[in-house]
Amino acid sequence: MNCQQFQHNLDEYSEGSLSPRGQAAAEKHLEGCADCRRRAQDYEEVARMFGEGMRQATQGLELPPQVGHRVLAELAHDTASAEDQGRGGFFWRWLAWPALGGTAAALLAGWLLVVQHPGSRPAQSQARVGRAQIVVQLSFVEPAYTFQREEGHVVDALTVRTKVINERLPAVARGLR
Amino acid sequence: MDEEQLVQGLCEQEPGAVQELVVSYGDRLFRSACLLCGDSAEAQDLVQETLLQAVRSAGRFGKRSSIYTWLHGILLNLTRHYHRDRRHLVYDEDLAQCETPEAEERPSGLDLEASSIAVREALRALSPAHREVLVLRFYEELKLQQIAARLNISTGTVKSRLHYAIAEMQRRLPGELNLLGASGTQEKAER
Repeated sequence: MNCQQFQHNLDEYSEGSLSPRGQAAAEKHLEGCADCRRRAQDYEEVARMFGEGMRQATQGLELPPQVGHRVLAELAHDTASAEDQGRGGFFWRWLAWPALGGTAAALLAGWLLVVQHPGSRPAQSQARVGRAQIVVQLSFVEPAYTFQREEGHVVDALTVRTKVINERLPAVARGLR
Repeated sequence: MDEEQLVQGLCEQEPGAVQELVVSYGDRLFRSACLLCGDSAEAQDLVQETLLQAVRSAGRFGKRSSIYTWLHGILLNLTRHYHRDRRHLVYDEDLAQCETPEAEERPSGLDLEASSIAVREALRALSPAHREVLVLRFYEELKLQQIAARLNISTGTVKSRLHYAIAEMQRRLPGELNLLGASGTQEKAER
């Protein structure tokens, strides 16, 4: 190992991470090179001084207790928020949605019954007899539910949208031709 | 509480486990954070966020390292974000004109020996990238490969930053503390 190689690997030599062969070559080089020996000693001294300086600079520093309290408080808030969402989710998942879904299904069934029954009088704007076709216009409400976090609370909002679909059906039922 | 019990408790967010985490590792993390960011108030925030993230992600702790290594990895990432965000701070002229207290009036709690103050100030003058390799190498006493893995950079980059940081520190440190004079001879500081 020559001086250039040793100085290139000075970091590794200093921390003892050279391979056994590399370490032996470095030690052998140091035996015969005063300059590299001095560099190695200086590096050790620099490492010691910086390490000692940083340890002294932080000696006695302690994490203020309120940091731990804030961590616990934040985690407790996480748990409370999760529970709030869970309760809200239960209500809307098992009560409100089925009720709204049932209402929408009932409306749909009602419309179809009115349109398809031969004795019924369809609304003028909603069905007309064309050439072997019936145009059915169906409207229903679609609920939309949103969650929003405001100042640590979960605020829910329900909106409804009216949807209209048009469908052409073949007029094959008796009495419609 | 051993490490396995502690991690299990953190996964369930048991207050006892969280308290144990704070007590066991809080001070050590705080000292490292003070060196990495140069400000004790910011260091408190960084440690607080580190502990929170650790608890929230305890289930992903793969036991491939010690708990302190895992926590310190989180701290390093947060410190990098902190430095990145600071670059985008808008300069507030009113705030800049407010009188700031003199250094000795601030209750820093740091050792007031001349050498430690000099090292602290010289460290603070380094860029975040150079400061972190210096802290990891000489304070956390990690090896080059460990530093490279922790920072996700090559060993060559670690060495390059380390050499630059050492040179800068020596340039900034007072002469009596500088061991490598121009002539190459050593002059030990008298204590």
